[in-house]
Amino acid sequence: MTKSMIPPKNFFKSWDIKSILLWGALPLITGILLSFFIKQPLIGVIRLTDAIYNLSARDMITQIHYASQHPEIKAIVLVMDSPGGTVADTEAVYMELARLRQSKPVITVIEGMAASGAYYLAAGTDYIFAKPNSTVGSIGVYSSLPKYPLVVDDVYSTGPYKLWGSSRDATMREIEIAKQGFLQAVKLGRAKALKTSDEIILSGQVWNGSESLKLGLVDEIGSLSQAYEKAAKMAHIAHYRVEDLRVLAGLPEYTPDQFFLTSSEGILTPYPAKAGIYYLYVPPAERLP
Amino acid sequence: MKTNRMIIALICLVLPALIRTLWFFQGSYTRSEPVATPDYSQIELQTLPLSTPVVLEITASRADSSRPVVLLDIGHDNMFSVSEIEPFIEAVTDLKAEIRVNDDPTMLAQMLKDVDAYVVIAPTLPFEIEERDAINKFVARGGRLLVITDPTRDMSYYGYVFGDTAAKLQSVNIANTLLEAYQIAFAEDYLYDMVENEANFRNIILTDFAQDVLTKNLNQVIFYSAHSIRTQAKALITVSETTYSSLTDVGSNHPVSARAADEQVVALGDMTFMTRPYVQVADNQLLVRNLARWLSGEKRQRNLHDFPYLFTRPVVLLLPKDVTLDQDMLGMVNTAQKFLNASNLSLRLNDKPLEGYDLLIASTYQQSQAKELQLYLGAFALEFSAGKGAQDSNREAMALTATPQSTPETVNPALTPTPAIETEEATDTLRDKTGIKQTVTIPGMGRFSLNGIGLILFSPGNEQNTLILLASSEESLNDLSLLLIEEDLSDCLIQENIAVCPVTRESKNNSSGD
Repeated sequence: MTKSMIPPKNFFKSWDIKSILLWGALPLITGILLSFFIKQPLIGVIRLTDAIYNLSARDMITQIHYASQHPEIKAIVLVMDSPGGTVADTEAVYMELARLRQSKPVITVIEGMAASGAYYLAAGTDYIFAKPNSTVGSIGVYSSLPKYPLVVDDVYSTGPYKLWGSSRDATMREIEIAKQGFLQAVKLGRAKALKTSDEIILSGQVWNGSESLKLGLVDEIGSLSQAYEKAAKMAHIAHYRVEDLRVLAGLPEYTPDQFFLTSSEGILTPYPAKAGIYYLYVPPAERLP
Repeated sequence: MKTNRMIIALICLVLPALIRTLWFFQGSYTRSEPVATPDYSQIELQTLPLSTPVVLEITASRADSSRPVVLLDIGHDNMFSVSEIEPFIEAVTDLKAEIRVNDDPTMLAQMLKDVDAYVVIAPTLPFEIEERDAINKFVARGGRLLVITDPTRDMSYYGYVFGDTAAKLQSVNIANTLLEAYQIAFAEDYLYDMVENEANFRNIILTDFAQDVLTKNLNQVIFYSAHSIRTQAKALITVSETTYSSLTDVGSNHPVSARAADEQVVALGDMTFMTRPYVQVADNQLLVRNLARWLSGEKRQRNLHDFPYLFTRPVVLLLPKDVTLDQDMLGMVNTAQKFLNASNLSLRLNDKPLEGYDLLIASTYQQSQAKELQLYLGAFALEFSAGKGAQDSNREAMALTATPQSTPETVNPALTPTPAIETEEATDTLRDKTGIKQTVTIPGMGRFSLNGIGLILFSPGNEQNTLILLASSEESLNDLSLLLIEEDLSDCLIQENIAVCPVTRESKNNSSGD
């Protein structure tokens, strides 16, 4: 410290109450008040507890937009328990997440399951936690082939596939492209962390959390609070708050829509209600007693 | 002084913000490299392997009687529809073969007698032991058997609600009951290839073919989900090293097609390749044509077990020259005509065989010694004699059968007679005037009393099939012919191509005479 910067010995003797208030307390109070403009950093939580389809994807995208537009949200924790969903909706969320990740870290916590499309999203985040027995994997595509095209008496269309979407062969090849895209997403997302071959990845198998850790599909076995800590560390923040982005974004309470097929007996099946191409894990359902 | 105060004021102003900033933030988040996402435009669409053009063979028209017949099983809850395998059906009919279907398992044994090939695809209803026996005998008699399964055609029921696949019926288990006699077994699996496939892991590319008429000109075949085969027989088509069985997730060059039983039995682990549009991929169409050509090959040589389907051509009825067409003989001719009409064959009376005709000979034992009949009878090495066990046991057996001057071309070489016994007093010895019991010795079967016995002898040939009816009188000959129209030889003792049948009327006559 140079001599000029050291106040003279009688410097503070010349301060009276008025001076203290004017030159000390007032700026300090003003500074304190102004400092409140520096918002406490937030870790935003996005929960995916349903299949990925238009409704759930739209909600997720709204929350992602909210996070990207609010600078106090410094990191996002994606909490997952989902079997995946439609290809298009999964990709829509994936691309929004990719944009968000340019500015904020995104951490995934796999609670019950991150299968198929849900894992597609998880692979596109910066760090993945799983429980020892979370269900992870089912990397691949699922689809029913369209019916053989035909013409019917009183229905007219303007092209051979107008009624059927595409040929069976074209659909088969489309799902192969989707599969390759999925593989790329996993390899890009997991990069050097991945410790297994393409064949194993594409086998469509599901693994538990511990096994998927060995394969490099997740980074760590850990809890939600560990995920917050990791997110804070990656975002270089401390003394943060954790907020549910759904609440912050003003979304109503989530009510699942009719994504899965309900059988004629009124039982919810693990199959999607509509034909299409899915990143979806269809678990072996339990029999009723 | 004032400057100092301003500095202090400024510090007081900034300090809280600084402290708060340091309280919350320990740095800033910066990404070292941009987030990479999949580049879908770089993913190439795998193109469909083009179908190899098939040059259709113009098959010369065949007479109805010479058309091979292929029997298609639809009686065992087979998991396919005939319209699905239209390319296969077309390939068979293009070769002028006839396709028949069997939807009644109880009729299988009977229908197999009149066909040359039998095709079973994805059965889910078990074959009864009698049916399996009939199929094995059919193969033993020269019939061709094609058994096809398909992993996508195993399920007759799928628990859609509960994902209950345990309820599915494995057609491979049923197909294996047909193939176990030939050391072929389908595995309860499907084959897949994650490395080299046709747009999907379960569409396997096959390029490893054994030398065989069924794999002729094949370079690449695509199977759309196939069972692997375990066999000691000839493997026709084998998968590559990268193709795994779902049972083991290990590749070991599994066969997907095999051929056994003197090449009369073929097993295939996929059906989809012969359906549209998959038949028009790679060499699939060629394989279908090869299969059709094999199934539509030469007509199977009939034997007596194929009764009543012994004739494949119009028939000439040859009667001994000295026969008088009395009421009984006319009855016999009429019966034979009805019998042949049932098979859409015509009957013609003639005094000698005709080219392009099968032959039916009806004769009494006595007349059978005529020279022209010996040409045909000689093949059977029958030995007629006066029996020793009758009234006069010391009387020597009297040999009757003559050595044929030459074996007719139509006679099965396998049945070439043992050295025959010279004819001697033929006419007399066949008459039972002395009360001596007449007997016939049939090689391999033993000695039979001629009393109440009729013989049905069958000699198949490439150019002509010959059926001979022998009985002791015109009346019993007429009765014997009734067995033909009843299409039932179940009371007869059949060995090879000889049937020994009880003749009712004669027995009654004799017993009443006694």
